[in-house]
Amino acid sequence: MLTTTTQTITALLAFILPLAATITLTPLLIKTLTKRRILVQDYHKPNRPLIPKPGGPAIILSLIIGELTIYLMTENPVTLALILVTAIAGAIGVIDDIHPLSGVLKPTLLITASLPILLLGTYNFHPEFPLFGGVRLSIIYPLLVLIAIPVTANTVNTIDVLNGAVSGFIAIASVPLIFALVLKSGITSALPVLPILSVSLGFYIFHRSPSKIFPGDSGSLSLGALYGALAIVGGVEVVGIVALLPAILNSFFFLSSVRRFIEHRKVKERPVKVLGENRLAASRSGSAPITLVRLILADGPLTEKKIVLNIFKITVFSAGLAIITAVMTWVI
Amino acid sequence: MSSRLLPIIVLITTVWLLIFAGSYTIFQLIVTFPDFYPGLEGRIVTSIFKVGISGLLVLFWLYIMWTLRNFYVKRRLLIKPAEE
Repeated sequence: MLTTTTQTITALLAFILPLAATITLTPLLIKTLTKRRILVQDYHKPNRPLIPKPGGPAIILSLIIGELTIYLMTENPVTLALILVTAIAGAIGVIDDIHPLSGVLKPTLLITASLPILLLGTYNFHPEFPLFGGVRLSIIYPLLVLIAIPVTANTVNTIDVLNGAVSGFIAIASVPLIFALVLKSGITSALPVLPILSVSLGFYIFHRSPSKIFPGDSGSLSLGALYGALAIVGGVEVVGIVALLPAILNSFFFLSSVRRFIEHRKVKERPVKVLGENRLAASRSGSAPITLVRLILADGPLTEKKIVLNIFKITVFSAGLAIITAVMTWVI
Repeated sequence: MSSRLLPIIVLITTVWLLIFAGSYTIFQLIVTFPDFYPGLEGRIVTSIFKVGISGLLVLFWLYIMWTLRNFYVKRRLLIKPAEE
């Protein structure tokens, strides 16, 4: 049990250090990537500017710095599992950024990112549900953990479609996790969520429209894998699922329309088209994949900034439902 | 919240409610089924039944989502004329 002073110092360090690391490392990465011409086109801008990618290494390193700080202050083995999950998912993401992996190989490899949680035994096979409480899933739960990390990592990856979308999305979705963990087991258990909140906020500064850097798969996969791991080790799985619903629905829409695991880069027909004045419109083709952005654009074209703002509004709504879920689980 | 987002909000709320309904049905109704008959064999048969019926429920849940998606897409994306 930590004293209030230690708790406060740890919370401050767990928020400030990863934030400072992201704000310091990301511009360095932008410079390095630009110098080495490791750039990609921003497809959703009319003039298709070249943007440095991936910003993932800055995200991964900052997340690890945050979790390591908490480990050093609290000696909580849970944070070791979180560091390993982030590092493994991040490494797979870096490989994917350098040499794109197939739509099947990537989730298969991401199963290895789930292993630290199982091997270090940092999970509880009694997940808690709203209204009726905990259930015992001693056999099936470890199998679900194996699937959960690739699912959350890929789900978060699918929301990384527009400038600032994934970093802002994770920042908003982290809030109900903190709320649920404080409600369930006190402030100490919520500390490991602070680095993901601060890193995503820090990265958002550079990722928002017009983006100065893209996170790449290394960034979005590490954020998604860590998010899933936080929900599992904290025992707030249902709250995590509800907060991620916009991204889950986006994945469901996409997979159910293309009907196979496929890299979005390989989809022939694009769900949106670029108009003048930085506006995007939904494709009216029956064979184009269905995505959250395409649904948002169903009523007419919008600028990229406004689409991202709409994604954030939906995420805030889901975060609200996740907070209600937490209250229904641990208060009522 | 704009009318543009209303259908998506309705979809998310439906999924949220379905999570409650589905988890309640599985863990409070299906899991608590007594064994069909005593002994190990009865336990195995009941467990297989429970897993099977829970799986069907998950498929039904996905079917509802798929139907809602199609309803929304047909009304909003394919029928509605492009304003651009």
